[in-house]
Amino acid sequence: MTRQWLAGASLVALVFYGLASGTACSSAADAQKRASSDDGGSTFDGETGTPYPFRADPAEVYVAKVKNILVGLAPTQAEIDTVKGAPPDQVSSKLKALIDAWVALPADPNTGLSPYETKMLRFFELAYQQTQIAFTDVADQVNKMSNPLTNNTAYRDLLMQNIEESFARTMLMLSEQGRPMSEAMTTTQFAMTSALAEFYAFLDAYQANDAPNSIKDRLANPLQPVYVTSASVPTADATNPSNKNFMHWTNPNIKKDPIACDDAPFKLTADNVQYIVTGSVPGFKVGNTMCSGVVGSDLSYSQFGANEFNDWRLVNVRLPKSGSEPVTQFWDIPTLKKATELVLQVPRVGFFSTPAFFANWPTNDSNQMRVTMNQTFIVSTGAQIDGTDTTIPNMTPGLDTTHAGNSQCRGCHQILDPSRSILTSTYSWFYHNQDDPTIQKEPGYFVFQGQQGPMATVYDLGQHLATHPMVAAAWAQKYCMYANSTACDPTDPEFQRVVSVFATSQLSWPVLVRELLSSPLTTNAVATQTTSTTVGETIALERRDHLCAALSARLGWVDICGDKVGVVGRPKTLLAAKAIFEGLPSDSYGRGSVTPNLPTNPSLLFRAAVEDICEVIAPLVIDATAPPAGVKQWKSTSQTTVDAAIKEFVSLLLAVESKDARYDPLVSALTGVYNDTKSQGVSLALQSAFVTACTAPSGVSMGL
Amino acid sequence: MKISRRNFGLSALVGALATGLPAAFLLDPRRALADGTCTNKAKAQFFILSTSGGGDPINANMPGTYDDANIIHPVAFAKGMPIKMGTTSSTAALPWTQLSQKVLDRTMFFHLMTNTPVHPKEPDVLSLMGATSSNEMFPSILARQMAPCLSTIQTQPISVGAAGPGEALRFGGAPQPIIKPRALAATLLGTGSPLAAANIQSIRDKALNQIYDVYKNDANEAQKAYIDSMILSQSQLRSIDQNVLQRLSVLTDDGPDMQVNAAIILFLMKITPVVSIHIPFGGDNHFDTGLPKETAETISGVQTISNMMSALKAASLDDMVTFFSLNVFGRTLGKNNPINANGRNHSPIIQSSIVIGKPFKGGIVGGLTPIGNDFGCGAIDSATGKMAANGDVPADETLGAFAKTLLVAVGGDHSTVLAGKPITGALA
Repeated sequence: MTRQWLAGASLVALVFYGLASGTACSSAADAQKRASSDDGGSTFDGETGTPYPFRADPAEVYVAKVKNILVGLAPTQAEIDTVKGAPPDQVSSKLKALIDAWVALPADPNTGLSPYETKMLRFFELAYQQTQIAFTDVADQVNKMSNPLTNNTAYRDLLMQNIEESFARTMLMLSEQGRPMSEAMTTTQFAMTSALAEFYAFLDAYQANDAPNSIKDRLANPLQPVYVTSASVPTADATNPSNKNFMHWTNPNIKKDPIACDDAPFKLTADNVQYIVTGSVPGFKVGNTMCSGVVGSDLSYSQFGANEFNDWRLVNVRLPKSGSEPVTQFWDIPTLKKATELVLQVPRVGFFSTPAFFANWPTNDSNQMRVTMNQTFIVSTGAQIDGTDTTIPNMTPGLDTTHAGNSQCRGCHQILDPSRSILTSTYSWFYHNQDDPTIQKEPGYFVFQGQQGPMATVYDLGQHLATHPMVAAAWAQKYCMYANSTACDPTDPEFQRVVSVFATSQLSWPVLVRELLSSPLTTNAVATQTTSTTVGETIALERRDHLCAALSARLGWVDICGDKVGVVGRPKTLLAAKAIFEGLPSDSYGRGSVTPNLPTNPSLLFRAAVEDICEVIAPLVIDATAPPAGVKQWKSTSQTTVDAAIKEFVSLLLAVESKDARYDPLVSALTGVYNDTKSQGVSLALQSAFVTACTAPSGVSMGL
Repeated sequence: MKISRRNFGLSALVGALATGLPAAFLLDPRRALADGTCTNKAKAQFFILSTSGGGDPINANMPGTYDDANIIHPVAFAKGMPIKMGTTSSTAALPWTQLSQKVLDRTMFFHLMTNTPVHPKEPDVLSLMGATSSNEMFPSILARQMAPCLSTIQTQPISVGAAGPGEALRFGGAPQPIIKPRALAATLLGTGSPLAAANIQSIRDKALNQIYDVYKNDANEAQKAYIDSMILSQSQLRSIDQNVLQRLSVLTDDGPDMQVNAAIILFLMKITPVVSIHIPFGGDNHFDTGLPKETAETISGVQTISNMMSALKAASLDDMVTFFSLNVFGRTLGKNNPINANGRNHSPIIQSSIVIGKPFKGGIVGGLTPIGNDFGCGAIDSATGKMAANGDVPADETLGAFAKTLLVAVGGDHSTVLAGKPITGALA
């Protein structure tokens, strides 16, 4: 294996893709182009097509890199000294001890998440493909309504945030319980808030088979009306079938409709009750009176307050034990608020059955779950159906004979079709229960990359995936790409050592994090096959998630980029800059791609964006008249405060500490900005020094 | 105080000298930034590419699809309308016929095949299914060849419309970011902060150039190369035409019309030679019973193209910009194909592209031929552009031929495309 096959993340994609499409990988030429002056990347020398000569990074560089990746913070001089002063054989253990300490940093009281959890949450959201969705993407699962989740946008935004975060939080919680990461494929426990638990149960109120427009409302009951009343009815009464006020829901907004509407009966449907639960009044008719409904605009009168979008706990989801066991009802609010178990008719197991994953990967009569299965393979094993899998299946139930009749197609279909059959036999195209008896009887057969075996239920699919031998290397590779903006060479003995340690630990996620971040694959402290021979060292811009985390953590901000809804006290100037934050290059995943999209080049648009962002932040942290609580502040009131501020810009924003040879020249350059601008006001001058630091190389890049 | 945050100041030049960039860069940063040499400046064009990883049915109602009664159309378009493109007369769905005659006279409808029926192959199709040097994406090949001719600030293409990462572009193998119109406008217009004043900014640039040297001083080669790219991007940013900047304020949403406007502004600012957008033409329409979505988005999609042509003319760019579409695959067409009962399926054997630009003769290149119970593209006679059973461009080389035709039309080097041959009959 030579460097010609691997020159970064994109080239790994080419390996998988290129072979599938019958194309050879011309990675040396690619690498040359990547290294040319305006391509960015800077892994390879544009003249020679080989990695730049390896030169080890000093502790000042790699301690800063590791701490930034892990928690978004800058290292202290003492932390650098711990590693720098260690004998060579103790460097790794010293760094691991630092990593452990950083992982254990306390939670932010505003978010309930530690810096480590904050960063890992985002990594898991992306790695398990639970993001990149809008509420309209969930429409297939909830009746294709024009406002499928609720028409209350405040409620909807918080719920969408819950939907996207849920599985990532599941993995954080399982990891903190010492559970192996392979439970990502087998868990029936999902992190939920009360509001999210209601949503899972709401989904279950529908049944949609494979035919378009086949939706059935399981809640609909012509004998039981529903009422919205201005009178105060306890939720416990409204949800108690034996109470006279059963299905009488309080919402004073009903008074905005004609008086005849108040506490008048109308049709019980899942849609109507969901509108009520989420704080709106549905439109309905009483005799000849039109009750036009009132759209909720905040959480008032919804059944869940802000805290109930944040009361995360693990909730087990299981099928009814018998046909007669009642399922959890989405309108049973008191039960849902304390639920640690939901009994639902749609099976939920692993990352690949969450509403977010299903929303990401809708299927249809033509695709027949192939996209769902392929993305499941990609997330679980880092590989996909691409024609390179030489596994010969012992049987091929569910094989699409039309497609497989073509010899060019058979190689993929004989693996994909039997495997996806467990999904088609379990779920309809709209991710409700499969109710076609013929399809139900064909659970398929698991085949993928050397592994095969029977499946009876979708839970068996999870087991096959969890025990697949590619899992350990796949997840080490995913984290390598996250940390280093490029792939590790899978044949690199150091990478294989990391994978081995991870596998031996029973797939303990913290072990992988510690091992990979302390590895020279990340630190470049000594040469590895990856860093010196096949890939080279990749220096990359701080993509959106890293930059936002670093600025938030270092400046004491909760979510400086405005990714999260429900954060109060965000200054208007930051809100106005939201579009700029959104335009930053970010990690993202695509259909059929085994590697994330990881822009590394600091283009002119990136340069413009960080300059804008730093200009917006500067007046919020320097001489701010009403600084948000907890946010770092500097003053220009005296030369002493100015000098201290500039030194802190260097250590905090640039992660360059006082013993670093770069420290004094950087302080000098920033002081020069201050002095040269001072005639226009000391506050503006210090702010401009801040912007300079904020846009300088190690403030906006990884690996310097 | 003048807000002029993108000025390329003397300080940047001084700094660049200090950082060791080539003198050519200092004297003419735009030319120095370009990648390679220009082969034919007179013929060079900017490009707007509309691409869909969903495989929108843009192919379903174009000229050429009314030649066989067994091709299914939405009810609203069931009756084809006469259309004339240059000397070619044909039939098409009503919206296509409503493009102005001047536009139609330089509009080429090119019937080709991408040889894939699966969505994830979108990046491969943009790389012409492996038929490019170094597996480069075709938009990036165009960008590399056009940038030196058009003296754009950067060579890399920019995506302002990708519907997802699957439609993102790669340049030299490196993933390129997606920046939507509103984010583009916000980023380049800045925040109006007093910190963006030109005199304050130039002080910072001078300091940053010192800082770059500090980082390069003891850096390894990879780190030095990266810092050089930071220096470059700072200089590129300062070379943006301030007079055009305010045009960005019209970008108030991320829809297709705004994507077009963003592309035009990027061209006026000479930032990039190629911009990719996404004009919906019906989406992945498996479940579009009766084809209402296809109908609506064909109308809105053609309207966007019409608006684009008007906007290009208003910007005096109508002779300087070529628009073309290339989707991951086309859609099935056959009236007798049961898969088309509720919508349309993916077709690896037909994908029809539209090309509009000064270098092109209005007309139809290639055509449709019955294959099984559906339709595929036929072989093409490269001299005439017409479908021909024994044409010298076989169906499976039409994708390469399409790319080569575009390259030749703009004076480019088509040897970077490894399959097919140029359709000389399509050139004006």
